[in-house]
Amino acid sequence: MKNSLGRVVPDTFTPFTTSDAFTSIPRKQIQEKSKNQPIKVFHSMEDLIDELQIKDGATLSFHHHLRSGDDVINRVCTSLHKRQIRNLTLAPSSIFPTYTGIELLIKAGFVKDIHTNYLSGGVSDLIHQGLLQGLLIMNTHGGRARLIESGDVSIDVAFLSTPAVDKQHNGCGTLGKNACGTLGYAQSDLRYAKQVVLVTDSLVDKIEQIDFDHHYVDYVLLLDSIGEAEGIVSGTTKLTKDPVGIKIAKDTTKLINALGLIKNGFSMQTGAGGISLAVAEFVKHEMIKQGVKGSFASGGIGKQYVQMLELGLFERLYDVQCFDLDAVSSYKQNRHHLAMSASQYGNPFEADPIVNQLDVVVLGATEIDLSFHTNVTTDSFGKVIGGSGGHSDTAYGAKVSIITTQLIKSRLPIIKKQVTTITTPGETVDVLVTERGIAINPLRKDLIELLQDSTLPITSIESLYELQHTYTGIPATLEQSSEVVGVVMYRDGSIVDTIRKKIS
Amino acid sequence: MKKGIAGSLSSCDCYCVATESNHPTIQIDSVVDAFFHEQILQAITQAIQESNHLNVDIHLIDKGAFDYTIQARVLCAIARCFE
Amino acid sequence: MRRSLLFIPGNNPAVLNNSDVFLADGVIFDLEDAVSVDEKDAARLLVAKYLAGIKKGKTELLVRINACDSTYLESDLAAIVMPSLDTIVVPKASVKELKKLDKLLQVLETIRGIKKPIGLLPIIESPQALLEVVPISKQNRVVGLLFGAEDYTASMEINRTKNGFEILYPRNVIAVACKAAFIDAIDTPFTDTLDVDALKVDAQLAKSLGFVGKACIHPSQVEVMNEVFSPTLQEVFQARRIIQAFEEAKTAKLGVFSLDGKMIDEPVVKRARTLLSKAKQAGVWREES
Repeated sequence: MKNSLGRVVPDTFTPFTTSDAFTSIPRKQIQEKSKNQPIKVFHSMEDLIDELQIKDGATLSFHHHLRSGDDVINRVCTSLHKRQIRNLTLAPSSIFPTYTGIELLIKAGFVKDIHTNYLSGGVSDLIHQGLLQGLLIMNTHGGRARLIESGDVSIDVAFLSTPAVDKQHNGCGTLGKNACGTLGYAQSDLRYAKQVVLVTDSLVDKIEQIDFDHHYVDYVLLLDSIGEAEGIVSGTTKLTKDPVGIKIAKDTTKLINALGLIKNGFSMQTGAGGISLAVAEFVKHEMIKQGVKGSFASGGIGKQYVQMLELGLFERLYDVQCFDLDAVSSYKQNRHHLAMSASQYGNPFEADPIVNQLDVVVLGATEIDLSFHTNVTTDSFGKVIGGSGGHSDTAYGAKVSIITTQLIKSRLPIIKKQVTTITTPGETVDVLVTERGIAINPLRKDLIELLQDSTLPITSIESLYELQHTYTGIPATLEQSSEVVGVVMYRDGSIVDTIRKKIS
Repeated sequence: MKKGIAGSLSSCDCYCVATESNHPTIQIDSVVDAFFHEQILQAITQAIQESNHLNVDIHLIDKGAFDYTIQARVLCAIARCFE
Repeated sequence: MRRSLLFIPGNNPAVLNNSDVFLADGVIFDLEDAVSVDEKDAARLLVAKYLAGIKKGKTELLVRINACDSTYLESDLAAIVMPSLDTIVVPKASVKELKKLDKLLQVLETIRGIKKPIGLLPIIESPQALLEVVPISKQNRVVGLLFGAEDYTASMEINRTKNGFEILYPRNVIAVACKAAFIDAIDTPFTDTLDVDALKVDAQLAKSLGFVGKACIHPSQVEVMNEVFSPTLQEVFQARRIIQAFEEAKTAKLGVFSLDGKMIDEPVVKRARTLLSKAKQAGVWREES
């Protein structure tokens, strides 16, 4: 079966039709969990796992707020591996190269499906080799919230790394030695998992700023350590110093300005990539110059946006995860720095998710094609090296979605006739900015008209496609295996593309 | 055996080792081999012919260099080999 | 136009690959200071292959060769003289060496069938060169003079400062010599690549002395240079008023006329025309509407 983008979809899934197909579907929500048992506190992972009686076929979820520093997922996986529990479904919100415990389980053949929003490292290699018993399902941040609230994936146990827990067994992300800030990605897990475990290494008297309400909590597991603080802030990228990246960021800022978006009430989101950070920096200067006060910035938040909030350039920040310690302390101290859950952020079925209120979002791409379909999920060999995260959510929601990328990355041309893997459908991608020109999606006639008299280097994506080949030559097309190891799930639950096994 | 080395392992560059040989071979290790093997081979071959030293082994470790860079590095390695 | 001439190190493919994206009026591929002694041969080949493969656009392509008294001169020329090369930047220039270069180029151009003569952009970077600046400016092929303040101040045994007081004299001399010879005066690069505001001030000073552009040692400097050395909108506006008033005066058969109480004569009108043509080239002003 093929979807509307011409990509093959395994028969058990719903094929993607259009990005707004969800508007004619009613929201499906299972009952939020209600519990009557008192919270039990454990001091050993093994005792807790005994108590939980996790069986073959269980579905377990985790969040990635401690990023590369998280140790909880590895300790749970190691324990399950020792107990030879099979046919597991894992649903971590992201998977980092340090999550080697998952590799252990996959190699043993104990893992059926994996649901996640972002994946890189050894786990990806194993899946590319076809070692998963079931499928890898790549979600979006908003889509994962939908997946959980709808009961499409029913979580048996959510193991939630929690930097601090108080005497009432509320949890928060702002205290403790592994403070990581907001805990937005874990909110659906907290509310809908059958059993919720807060795993912590810091007990405090009382938490004022509660991220995990004890009403949802079944267990608290107190360990010596839940992670490595240095790994937690590893998500940040430095503002690019590369002159080509700076040029792309400058042109992007000029474009945003030329579209008349920088005005009072303006809202924006930029990713954590070097070019995106540079765009935020240049937009900051532009806002100061023009005396503009924006309404909000959203997404993962780092010190740059904290600074803009403190300068009064934005009224508020909606923060799903903190990228650095500046963001953590701002969230703790500044009442205009607000936590948002993944569902409030990008769940299509929320009444008015934050992504829909965005004026502009600046995103990256591994590949983009002539239909503006964008790939941030796999490399050109089809191996997973990332994932949507909020890419498809914000591209759909924001009034203008801009992809920034170098046109050529060490001889590889970025524009393909067809991307290896579709992450974000082209109908939701509006502009491509490269160092050698800007292309606007022909579907956005309004933008093209607005920029008619612009001196920006605007051209067609076809011209950029040709231009890149004058430098690189035309790359060979790679054959793809017919064996499916995963799917890319759109935010509404339909399938935009499949992920194939490594060609042997 | 005479030997010449040119280039670097930086991104967009390539590292070329030319060795005098009676049975010339070309070895390519490229990060973009799957996409550009033929073009890289052709760039090397052209450079060898241009150099007028056909009796060389070329080992090219490529980090995504354009053809002009590959040719320049091969020519330089060969020149250094026979200087 | 030579508002911005961007230096690109000759032996770095990653930088060479992107030398065309910053919209400098000219790009100077450097075989001299940016290349270590043991990589001269590699850089020469790399720049040559780059130039041979390039699709020629509006950008002026320049190469800074090694000093004429070095052992590299003939190899440098043999490698880089080709139809796509516009101009050779000559370090530590002197009249004697420019004459020698002119002859060598004549021979190479004939052999290689190059129709458009390759220009020379001598760098004035010593007190000796400064004293010779008038004859240098009149040599064959010389399209402009580039001031090299670092070497100049080193030879003078004086310190460089941010306000550039110590280089006011050479700047004046070079600017006047260039105007007299109808060639371009290009100012010395600004070395603090992080201080964009100071760069702007420095460039505006150079412009006020008669320089038409400035060498750039970092891509981030190009945009500022293009802006500073382009006519401003006010200048364009005023020039158009002058020409309009001139046309009206001509129709009314008036010899001399005035605008805003100031007498307008032939040189003023000529300057207005030159400015408009520059503004058109710089993209500051499109067509008369």
